[in-house]
Amino acid sequence: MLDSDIVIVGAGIHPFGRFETSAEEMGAMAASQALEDAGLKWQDIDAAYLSRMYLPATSGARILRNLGGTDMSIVDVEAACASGGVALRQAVLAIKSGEVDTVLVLGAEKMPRGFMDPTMIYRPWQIKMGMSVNPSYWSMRAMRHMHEHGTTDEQIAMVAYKNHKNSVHNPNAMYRKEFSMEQILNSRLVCDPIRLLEICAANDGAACVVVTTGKKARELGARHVKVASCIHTIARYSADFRCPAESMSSKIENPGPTEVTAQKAFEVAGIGSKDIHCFEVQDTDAFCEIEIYEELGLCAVGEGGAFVESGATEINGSTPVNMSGGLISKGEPVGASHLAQVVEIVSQLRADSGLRQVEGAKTGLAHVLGAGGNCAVTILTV
Amino acid sequence: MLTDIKDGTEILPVKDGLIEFSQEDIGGLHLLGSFCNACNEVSMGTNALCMNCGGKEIKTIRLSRDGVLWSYTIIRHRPPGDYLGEDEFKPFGLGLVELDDGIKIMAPMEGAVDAFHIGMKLVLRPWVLVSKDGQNYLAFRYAEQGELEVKC
Repeated sequence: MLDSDIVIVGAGIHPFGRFETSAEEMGAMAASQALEDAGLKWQDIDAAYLSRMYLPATSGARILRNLGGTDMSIVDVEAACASGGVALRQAVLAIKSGEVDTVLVLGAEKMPRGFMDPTMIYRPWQIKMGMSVNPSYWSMRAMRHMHEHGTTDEQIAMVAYKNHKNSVHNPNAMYRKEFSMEQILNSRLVCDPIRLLEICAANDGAACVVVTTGKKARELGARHVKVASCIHTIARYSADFRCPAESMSSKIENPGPTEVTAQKAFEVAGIGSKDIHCFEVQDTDAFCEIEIYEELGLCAVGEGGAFVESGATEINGSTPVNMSGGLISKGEPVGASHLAQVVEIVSQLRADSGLRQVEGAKTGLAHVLGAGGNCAVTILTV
Repeated sequence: MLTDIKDGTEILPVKDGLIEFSQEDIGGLHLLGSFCNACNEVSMGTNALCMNCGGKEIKTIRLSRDGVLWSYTIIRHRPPGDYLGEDEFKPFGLGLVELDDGIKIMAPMEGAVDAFHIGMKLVLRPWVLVSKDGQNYLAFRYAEQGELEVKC
């Protein structure tokens, strides 16, 4: 480890689910756990970022004041499903600037029940016309992939089967229940071809990491994990028709945000997709995961369905994906989502993951993608 | 539903700058697009800047009324918020419709949900929505070509 490396020295998480507990309490609990894990006190922190989408203004300060008085900078950041990636990236950049040494990065969310409030993402006319159902946009991608590549309902269901199965071993997941392929394929259609057991729920939760320099980590004697890269991008022109897309170009085909962001992340980390031992990716619905295999370069374009069918992405497969159970079983408290993926990878690289441990994992990648084409990829190594 | 319109009630476009129509003939509606003289890209609606290159030399064009279904889904539950579709919800199609103008448009679809298939030929149709306070809005849907003569 170099003195100038950026490393995670502490990780904490409040389980994902539906709770009476306030966002302030959940966030403070995750932050306190991460500090304890790092062997640090709140007073040792130089700056903090809160990732959130649904919480009110200045939530970072409201949550973190529970840990004690401070004169540090605490900033809320938002980038839809990629909010956590942006918060972590800001911490990395702040430390690289040399102005601060140790930064706390917290994600917390408490989401309204039922459908997300459409006015946060969609324009009024789209809402009037019934075009404000998030899964519909992902479903259209699935439908086109099935048409072009012959991907099947069964292959899409296999992603949900795998992730639900993995969740049984994750105490922080919202749903910890295994479902049979039959149960998944018989669950009701939400937006064809995507079914209820193939989709993630909005919920509550918090996750936190403490980030510092290699030099400081050595002084602390902490169990550190290196942040090899942390990249955020917005989709290029017409590269993604996730919500709230109105139209697409038929003439210009740009690479999708996952491919672009991952390429940048691989370049900065100096390693490629084949060098990564475990992945946590945005399975907002089961089809998304198939598309992400292809865009991360884990398999050829069009072969994502066959890839999950081969068993490659199981915990004991060649390319484990969503060991935590993914968003399909954890739920997606938007602001906390990416940081929980990072906490999972940290746990995997420290060989702390028990029955969901990927044997010998030394590298891991966390990926999120959502509204507005917001995408973040973080690569961690030991 | 065309029959819902009260005589003499003005119909507003569901979004300004998106739909061209006359009060007397809503069936003759066109969607509007913005053509960029610099990069030749077309975006939906009337925009001041090109969404591809940021160019300012924009020409408003009428988009083709005909299209081909590129992808679709079926919405099985009532959409959230201020959705102005039928009071009694029925599942409906939402499609990405490829037009000759070099653009694909996201739009709801008219017709039986089990009849949709990628590649089907579609035509633009008017769709009148009525808000809770009685205001009529002209929106749009796509229907299978050849079906509309039967329906009207």
